[in-house]
Amino acid sequence: MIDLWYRAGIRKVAELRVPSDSTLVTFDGLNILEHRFYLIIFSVKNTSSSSSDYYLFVNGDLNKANYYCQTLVSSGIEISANRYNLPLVAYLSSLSNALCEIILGLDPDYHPRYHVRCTRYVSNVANVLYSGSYYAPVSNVTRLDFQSSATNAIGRGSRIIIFGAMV
Amino acid sequence: MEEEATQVVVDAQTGELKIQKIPFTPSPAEESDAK
Repeated sequence: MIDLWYRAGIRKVAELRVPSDSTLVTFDGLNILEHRFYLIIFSVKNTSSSSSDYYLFVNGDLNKANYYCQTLVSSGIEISANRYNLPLVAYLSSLSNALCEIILGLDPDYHPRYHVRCTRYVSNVANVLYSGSYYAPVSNVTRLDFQSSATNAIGRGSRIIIFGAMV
Repeated sequence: MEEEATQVVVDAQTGELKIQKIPFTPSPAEESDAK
């Protein structure tokens, strides 16, 4: 899969293995106009004692009310859906892990939009889809922030890899 | 209640990494399989 991405002109823009339990991980110096879109691998573990949401903010706007998302969760034989006024990209109960693929891009009117395909937990593995949007158009995306709603719930060893087009 | 939290900042241009402490008011999520 990675080999196919490279042949298609997709290159790694940034990578982080989270060095210590963190609440906020910020990537600065991005340029979505140059990279067209971002494909992000968000491999996260919640090492905290609380369940936590995980949010993705653009351009330093950490006001959750400026974002919207729709979820679709399938877990066992149950399927649920909901809409939130949040930039959700994942949710984890305490001491659990997830692997999420995030595509972030700009629509034709330059509203940032994303969708996420996420798998979480082990024996009770669940499949979660998120689609989200930012309330206003932007001229570029130069900064991304990943934030946990519980303190330091982006556990040490979590990994974030950002790819973009280099053609 | 405000707590001390950790922020990691990555400069995508240079790869430089900075770790700093920030004030943070947590809002632990309710246990939910719907999100």
